Amino acid sequence: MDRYASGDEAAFDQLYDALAPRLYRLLCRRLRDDDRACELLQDVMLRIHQARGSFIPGSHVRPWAYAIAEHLVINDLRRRKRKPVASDRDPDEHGSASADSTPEDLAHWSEIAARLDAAVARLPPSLAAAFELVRTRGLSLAQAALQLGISVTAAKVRVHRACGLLRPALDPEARKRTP
Amino acid sequence: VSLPPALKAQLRDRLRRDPSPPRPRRAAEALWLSASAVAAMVLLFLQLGGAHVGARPAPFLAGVLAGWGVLAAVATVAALHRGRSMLDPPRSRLILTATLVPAAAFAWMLLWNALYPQTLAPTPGRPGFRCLGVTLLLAAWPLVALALTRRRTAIARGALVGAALGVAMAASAGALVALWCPIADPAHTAVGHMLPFVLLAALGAIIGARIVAMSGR
Repeated sequence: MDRYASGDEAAFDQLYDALAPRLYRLLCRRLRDDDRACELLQDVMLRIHQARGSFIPGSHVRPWAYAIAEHLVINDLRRRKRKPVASDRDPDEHGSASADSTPEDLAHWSEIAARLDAAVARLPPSLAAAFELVRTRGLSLAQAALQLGISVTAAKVRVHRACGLLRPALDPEARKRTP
Repeated sequence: VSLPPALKAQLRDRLRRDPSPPRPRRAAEALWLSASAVAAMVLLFLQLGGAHVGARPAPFLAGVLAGWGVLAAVATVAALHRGRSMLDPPRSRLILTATLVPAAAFAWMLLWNALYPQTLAPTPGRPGFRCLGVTLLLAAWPLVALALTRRRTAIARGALVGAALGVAMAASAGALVALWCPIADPAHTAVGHMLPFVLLAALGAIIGARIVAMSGR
């Protein structure tokens, strides 16, 4: 940090390697949202960068970075509490169980969920990861691409292929039609 | 939990778009800003006529200056000193600075002037608005300049640091105004010499939230 504060731009890589993984773990744990953790990690590093000129030589970097991260987390959680994230999805529209589902419905959906889990587990890891991020966690293709370190097109292809492989597992009729 | 591999490059790109001055440049800027704060306050004071000794004896004036000077120094150090830590100053220290320094200044004004009762005589024609205006005028630039030396450094207490800094600048300007103003009756003191603490603390809190806080602009 001392070198980076003195103007050595190349020292950023070392600073990032020393701080980012720990901060990311902290943010993921506190937010339970990998995508938001990624955004806040960028904000923490940006704030460190903006304040580097006032860095006191020899002072500890980690407590400082953690304090910035903790402050951002608190603000983020407060903001989310004030403005709950409005879901534009209707759970019933996607076929999940609702509050007034009958026991038969619940049994049916839990069977489908189990079949889906098993089918996802059989997918190649690269396809399973893309499917998980986009369809299960609800990330956009761009966000998933960033997380996986691939292009948006590649992410789209992976999700499409994963869906193609999962469809027969969920629809027995389709399985029969498949040669 | 593993970091997205593209994040580092993306972040480096973001930092390139938002450059920040390194330490040597920030230190030079801070030196220049601090010097300009002191120079502006002193020059403006001299421009307004400097100290008005009048009938007040020299030891009395020295005492006035010493009391206000100590309070100004304590408040400035309390607001700005960080030691070897990058964390914000303790909340209690900032709150005590913002509340106790004005109270101590008021007490000092009344106690010290009690030694020279003629200064405590009521002055109906001098409610203290001139002293108020002069104090605000003297403290305005130093407050902004010192806040700029701490630009984007406060993690969570930007407004509190700003308020403490406002009080410190009110005490510094108050020291000079006390040399300029020979009146110390309680009503005049409240308006002309204590109200600036309140106004500058409020102004400092706004400036602190915008300049000193990391989330500010």
